[in-house]
Amino acid sequence: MDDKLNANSRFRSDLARELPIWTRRGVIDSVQAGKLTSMYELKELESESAKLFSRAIMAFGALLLGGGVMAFVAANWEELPKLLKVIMLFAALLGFHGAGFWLWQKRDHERLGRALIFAGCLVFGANIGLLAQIFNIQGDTYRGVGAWALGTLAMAWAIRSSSSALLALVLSFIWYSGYLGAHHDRSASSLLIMTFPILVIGLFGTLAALIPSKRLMGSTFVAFFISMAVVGATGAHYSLIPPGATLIVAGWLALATGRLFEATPHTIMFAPLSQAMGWVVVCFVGIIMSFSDPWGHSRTFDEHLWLLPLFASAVVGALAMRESLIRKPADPGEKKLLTLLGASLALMFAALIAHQPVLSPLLGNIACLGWAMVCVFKGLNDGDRSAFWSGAILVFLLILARFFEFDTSLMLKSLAFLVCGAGTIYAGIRYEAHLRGKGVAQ
Amino acid sequence: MTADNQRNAFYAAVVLQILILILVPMQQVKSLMTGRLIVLPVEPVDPYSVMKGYYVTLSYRICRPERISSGPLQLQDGQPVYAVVEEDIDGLWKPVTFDTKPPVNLPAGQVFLKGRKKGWRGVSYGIEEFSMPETRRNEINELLRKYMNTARVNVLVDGEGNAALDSLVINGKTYRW
Repeated sequence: MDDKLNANSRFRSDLARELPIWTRRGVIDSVQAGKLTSMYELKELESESAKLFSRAIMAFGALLLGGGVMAFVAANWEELPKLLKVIMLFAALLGFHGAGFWLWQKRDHERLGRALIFAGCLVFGANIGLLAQIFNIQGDTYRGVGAWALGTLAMAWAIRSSSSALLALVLSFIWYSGYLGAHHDRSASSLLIMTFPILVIGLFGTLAALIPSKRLMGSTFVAFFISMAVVGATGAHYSLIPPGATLIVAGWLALATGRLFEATPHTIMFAPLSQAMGWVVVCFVGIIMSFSDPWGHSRTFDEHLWLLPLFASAVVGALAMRESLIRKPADPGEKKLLTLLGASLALMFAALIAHQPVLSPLLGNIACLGWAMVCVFKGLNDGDRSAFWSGAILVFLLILARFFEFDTSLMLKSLAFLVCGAGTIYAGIRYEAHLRGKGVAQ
Repeated sequence: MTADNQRNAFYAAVVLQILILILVPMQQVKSLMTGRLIVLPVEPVDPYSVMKGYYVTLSYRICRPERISSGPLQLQDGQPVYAVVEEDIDGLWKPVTFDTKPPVNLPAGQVFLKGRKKGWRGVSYGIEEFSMPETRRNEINELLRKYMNTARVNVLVDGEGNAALDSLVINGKTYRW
């Protein structure tokens, strides 16, 4: 157990205010109060706050000074020779990074230091633009953004920074969009476009787990899902098969990694996020597949490169699931759930392979019901309310979707709403009774 | 991660960022330092699209190979184009021929520029945009509209045909930032 004292100034100030009250009320004696005062260095608080105030004044002065220098440089920027401009750009970059690292490592101001290094990454991006301006470099903006993303990602890895990594993720996506727009002829650039989702999950997902950062992990999964959808859409040519298949496999990867996160103590914090995101994506695709209309418009495809990220993600997902089962073997209840989950995924693929407007939506509906059952059973087995309600909502969504899809009378639609509403209340009451029976807290 | 490893990783990231910043203008710096100076007349461009933010859009005869009889007329988008130019008696450089392969054994008075077909904009040689300060944009815009027919650019071209825009000359006055 970590026996490090809480050195937070706010906590120490509160403690200094409380100690005399505790002593007066006889909770602690004056000797104990003295020990606490010396242990938490409470007498230093006043001088520390004075130092902090003077530091704040100095920082404010430094900001004004910096602002003045920047305004002076901006006013004379045109007149400066190219070489001097370049030297100033490099000096600014090194200044931010150097000051940040020094404050963090040598002066123990980690937050300020990291903030300055992040600002250095912004300066790095600005420098790319300014160098292009100084040397009249013309070309596609996305290339510059790509270079910015690369340098920022390297820094994010070096200092394990989630802010820099998020910046790099956004920049990578801008680069990806620009690259897609600029390369209409897919032949030469397809490989890079197709491997982007794998790069995203490998570079940013691993970093998120190392930091560890939930917001980076969530953003990485969002970027992964979008890029998998894009990869599918580029190979689609009005076919439902490539985007459907890539998104189902993306969801599978998130679910399987979620299971692996759950089985690994230091990554357990990512498990609910990863599983929830995977579930949402697969359900989204399942609901689309449950309608018959999209199948009527879906055509066949003639491009096959999207199969590369699809197989890569499927294999990574399978390996993650295998590893998670080795680390934390499934109990009989979970085994049933995993079988049901696998069967639902297989049904979704069967719907894609069948690719026709009657059988495919039927299989899509059965797969969605399978998903809903997985969630409801998980909710019943583990006492997991969110899983139970997710499954219930999916069932009601499917029922309502069918009523709205087909031309039914308003009376029948109203009846569907009433039945779903009553069903929700009834399911809730029964479920809470079931939880009480299992002794789960309210 | 140990403190030493973290320090080394940080240094490596800074070095990578510096390398990227060096690589960004490297081609232009090489052309500016080692290239041969040629003067190209500026072709009139659409007066409503001359100014785009902080740069001026320029066009040259070499951007439109299809207008020159000896040029290849069927170019694919993104295809490399090599324009051979030579100095005329008025000191301005004019196109001689175009090819899709780098020319070899050029006479001493000729230089080639490497470009790429860029859709409706014709062939781009990387010298069609000239950056300028925001405070001078209106002035330059007016001058360009007034003296478009006599405007020139000084371009430096290295041995591989890479061109770098050095300065813009309008009505005898050289602008360089």
